[in-house]
Amino acid sequence: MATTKELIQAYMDEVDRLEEEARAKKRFRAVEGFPYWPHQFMRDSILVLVFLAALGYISAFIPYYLETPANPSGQPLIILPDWYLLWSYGLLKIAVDVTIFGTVIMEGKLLGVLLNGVVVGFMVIVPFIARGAARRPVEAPAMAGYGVFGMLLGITLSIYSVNNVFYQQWGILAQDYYVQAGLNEIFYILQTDLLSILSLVVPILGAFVTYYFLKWRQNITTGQTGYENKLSASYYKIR
Amino acid sequence: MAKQGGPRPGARAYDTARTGKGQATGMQKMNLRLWAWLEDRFLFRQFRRHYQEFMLRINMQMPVSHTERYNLRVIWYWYPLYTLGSLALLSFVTATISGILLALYYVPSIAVRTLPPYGELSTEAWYSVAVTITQEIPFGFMLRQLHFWSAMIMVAAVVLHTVRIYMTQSYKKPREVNYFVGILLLVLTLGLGYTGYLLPWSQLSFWAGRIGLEMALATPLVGEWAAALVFGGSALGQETLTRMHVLHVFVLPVITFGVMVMHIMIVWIQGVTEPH
Repeated sequence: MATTKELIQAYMDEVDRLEEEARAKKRFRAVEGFPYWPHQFMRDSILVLVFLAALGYISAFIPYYLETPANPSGQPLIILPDWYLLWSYGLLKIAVDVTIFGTVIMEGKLLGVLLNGVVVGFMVIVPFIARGAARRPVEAPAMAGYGVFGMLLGITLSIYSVNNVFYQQWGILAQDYYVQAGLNEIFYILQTDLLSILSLVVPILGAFVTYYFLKWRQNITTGQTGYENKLSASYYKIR
Repeated sequence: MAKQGGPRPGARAYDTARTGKGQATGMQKMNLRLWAWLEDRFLFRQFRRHYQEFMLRINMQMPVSHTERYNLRVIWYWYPLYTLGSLALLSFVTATISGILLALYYVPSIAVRTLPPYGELSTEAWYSVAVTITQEIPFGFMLRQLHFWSAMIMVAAVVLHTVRIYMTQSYKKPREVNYFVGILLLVLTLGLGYTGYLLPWSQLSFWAGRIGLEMALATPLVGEWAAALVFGGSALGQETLTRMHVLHVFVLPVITFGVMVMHIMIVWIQGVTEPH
């Protein structure tokens, strides 16, 4: 009866043996990573100099204003988090009470918080839904479309987080035919004014445009099926 | 003592230098003579051989990229996209250094002070105590600037790094685990940014704090408990600022540093993906 340690040892020996065999045969094998030391480190040493120069320059010549102190009683016209959290604030604004036939089943605030979690969830599931050896966007148009959808949604939600500014500028964006027709009495989950509809439709459109553009690129590059496997074999395998 | 094994190495060169025959000019001959004299006594040849052996033994050589070594097709201008993670690390380091210096002077207080307007930057005559670093210590303005822009660059680098990882599908085997660690780092970076945004205790800080507080309170079951823990109750005030200070200066940086070390160690083991 072998102990666990012995089993692991045997396994490691076998892996080593197989790898040596593969190397000896000089068959194609998957590309290894680019070593961190010293290769990536040398690359980074250039970055250090560029970064420090740029940071000093920006800090000296692009000042940001000194803000007025906090005043709990006077809410300003525009309240914002920093730019990288605008999407989250946009989600809070776009979420309304979930209503089915006049019954509220979830508060809008809670929905907004849950949607923030959903965004993180969308990022976590990526390795589970993307399979295969494809690396380039052109090899996996669906995943590229998914990514473009996410990025555009981030941008449009950031725009939606300052919706009151846009409403002031272009009144048509505040038009809400859904509510005017009384449809919100039947089912209501997200804001339905023109700006909010655009901020959901534009990312979906962007995803489809990306998908079909990449499909078109695939066809004009090769004009044959099985292109992905050929590309993978020639690009990602080395001797 | 009998001569063994013929003339010593370099003898011919030395003879040329001594007798003045050959093509060498006077200056060269003099240099050569000096070199031969030193070489006879200090054995530079051996040093050179030892050095070459040493360099071979530690395998020190100029980096050759994977694509160069295996003659793969490469798009060289993609390389900068593969240093975005390092850029995030670098800006974290500069933010830490400037942050330590700022923490020496920062007072987490919601009090307000009257000070003369700061040049062209502001026409206000009163500031929250938190931002008076700018006016009261030497280079305080530059310190805040460095910290601010380091943070901006860090968040931008982390976001673009995520986009690059996604678009080149670098999260696939064997890098799935590191992808999850990276998402954790992204969230931590956003947390660092948010808590730092609240520290000047300006109008924008306060109302951004209100947004966060309402989000916490809207969460069922743990909402009020979380609001009390992170924001110090259901209203913003001095306790909020103190908590944000502790989170921003101690808790989040330490966690971020630990996770970052893990992230980079995994990269060290697995290597960086190459543009293909």
